[in-house]
Amino acid sequence: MREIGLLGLNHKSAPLEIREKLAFVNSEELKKGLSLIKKERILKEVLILSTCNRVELYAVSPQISDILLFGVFEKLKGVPLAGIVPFFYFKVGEEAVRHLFIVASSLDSMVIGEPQILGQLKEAYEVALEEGTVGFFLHRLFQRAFFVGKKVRRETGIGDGAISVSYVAVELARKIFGDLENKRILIVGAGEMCELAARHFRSHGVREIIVANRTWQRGLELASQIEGIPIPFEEIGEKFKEVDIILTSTGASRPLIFKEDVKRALKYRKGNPLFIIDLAVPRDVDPEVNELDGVFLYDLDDLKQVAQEHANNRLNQAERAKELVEEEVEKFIRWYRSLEIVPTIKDVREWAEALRKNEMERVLRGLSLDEREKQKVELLSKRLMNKFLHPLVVFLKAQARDEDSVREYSELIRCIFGLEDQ
Amino acid sequence: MLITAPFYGGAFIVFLLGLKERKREYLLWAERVLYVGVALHVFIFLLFLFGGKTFILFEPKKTSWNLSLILVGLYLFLKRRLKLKGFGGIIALFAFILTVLAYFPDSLDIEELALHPVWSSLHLFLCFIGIGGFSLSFSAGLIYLLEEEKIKNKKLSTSKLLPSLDALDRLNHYGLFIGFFSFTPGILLGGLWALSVLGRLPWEEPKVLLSMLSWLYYTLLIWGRISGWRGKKAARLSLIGFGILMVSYLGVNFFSGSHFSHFIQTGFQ
Repeated sequence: MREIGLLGLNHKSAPLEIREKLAFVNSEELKKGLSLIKKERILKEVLILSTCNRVELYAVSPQISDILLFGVFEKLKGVPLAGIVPFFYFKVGEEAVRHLFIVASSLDSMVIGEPQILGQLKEAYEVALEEGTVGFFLHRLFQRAFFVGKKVRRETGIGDGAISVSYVAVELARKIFGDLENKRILIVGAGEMCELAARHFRSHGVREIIVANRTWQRGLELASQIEGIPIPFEEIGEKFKEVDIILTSTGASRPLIFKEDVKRALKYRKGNPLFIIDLAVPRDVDPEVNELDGVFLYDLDDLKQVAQEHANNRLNQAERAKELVEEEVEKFIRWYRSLEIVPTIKDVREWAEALRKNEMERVLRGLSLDEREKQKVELLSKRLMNKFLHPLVVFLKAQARDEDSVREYSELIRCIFGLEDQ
Repeated sequence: MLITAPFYGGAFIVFLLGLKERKREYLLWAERVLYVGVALHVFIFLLFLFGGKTFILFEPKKTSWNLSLILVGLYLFLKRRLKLKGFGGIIALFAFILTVLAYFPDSLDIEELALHPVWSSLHLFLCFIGIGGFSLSFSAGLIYLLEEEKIKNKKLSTSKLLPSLDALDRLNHYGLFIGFFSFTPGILLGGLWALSVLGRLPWEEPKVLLSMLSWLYYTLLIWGRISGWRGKKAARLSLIGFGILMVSYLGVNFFSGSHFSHFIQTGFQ
């Protein structure tokens, strides 16, 4: 297990100025670096993960050490690392496996539970696979990491619930309307908040965005930026009858939309729900509007509260996620140790098979059996051999729990069966 | 037959656990348990049918067991179309109740009913699909009202696990239409059957009267839906409709005996 190591830095260990210097800007640069390592045969296996928040080099080598990996890094990036060594972390063996599983589970991300990291890991793996720098060990390790990442998301719900105000608004709209593809949205105001939220809604496929702003020119600008339809500010009341979502964020000092305005429009809506998002401070919509049937009013505080609940939930789930990661690290290590047992099991089997064949030949020479009878005796001897060896194999595999036991029992078995020289 | 009940009940319990723990995975497991239940249900149903035990088609109280199958079947039919992921737990509760109801004592003479196999089976079959549709509409309406209340009051803890309000409204709509357009020919056949045996409609029977009342109510609801009723209003009205239907379907059966036995006995007097 001491052969696997990782050297890297992330958003917690290094500031952006350092990270951007060491990041691999595209897959071409990454491929070039990997092929260089392969050509010079510095490492047995290698994989580089480079995202906005982290640069990590996973490597397998019998001589793994931080000095070796620092050397590789310097060679790849062509910059001396002497002054920035404290920003790096180096992990080896079990610690490296644990770190990768934590990264894959999005527990080490800037926003816990964010979904991109698993895709980035897969991309890094595919590039390394293409360059032929992934071997038996990293292949198994990364496949396991993908599995762990998915398992953690599935079983803990760590990625559930939006944690930014704009996304919460979109999520709520989806909760009310399902698909947003055929929905129409009215944007009242043309400020930054409106623009950001409108873009989120656009990316979720809303059919039509209508923009109304007190200053016609600014409204026109926003409408052209988000492919919306501009309307005069005075006409917003009419649109209440038709749209599904109203998003408002103006600089008005008093509410612009009152219960009576919406109530009038409801008569024409035939019970279709209306979702109003008020991002303005002070508020643009009278809170009494929420009392109307079929109207859902959320102001900035409501959205922030939902976002906070989601963030808290993610933190709570992180504890469970860490337990899952630990279980998976344990399983991976057991698998790895079981590899050390394999040669011993193989040798014992070969020894037994040679013995069986020898004895069979001796016995069959003294008997006059036809072909069918010979096959039966052969089968019997094989079955007996397997049955005798089965408890031994099971026992040896069970010793994979700890490293010392694996070695000790391997040696003992080799001694008993006289396999020392093999 | 009762063997399907633990699966339906179990699916509902897993569904509740999922809501409590806020885990979508549990809701998906609830659906899987429901699938096992329904597969078993179909198997037993076919076993009875091909074993010549046709009482499974005729017996009104036992047919609540069939109704649970129809209900789950309709749900599975609409599930993908309406994106109803996670809703199976609610359907499982209804299926469980209907399965258990089939085990209440019954006084009906099957042999008498079997004298009119075509009339009775068609009438029952269509009426039960109708009730299945109305049950779907009711369950969607009920969850719609609960979810709507939660979103309005900004209590969203479990909301993300259940289908959107729009999906629930559409289930309410589809359930209502499937229900109405099966129930209508169903009671029409019942009327024709009565006319052919009695020469008149047995209005003195509470079940006949209540069924007609349910039908009139649902006609009004269909008209409302066509003219654009949606959301909370439609959900509330589907709850009331189902209440009337349940009084005529279960109430009369359990408290004043089967309307079939009464009807057939009267007819042969």
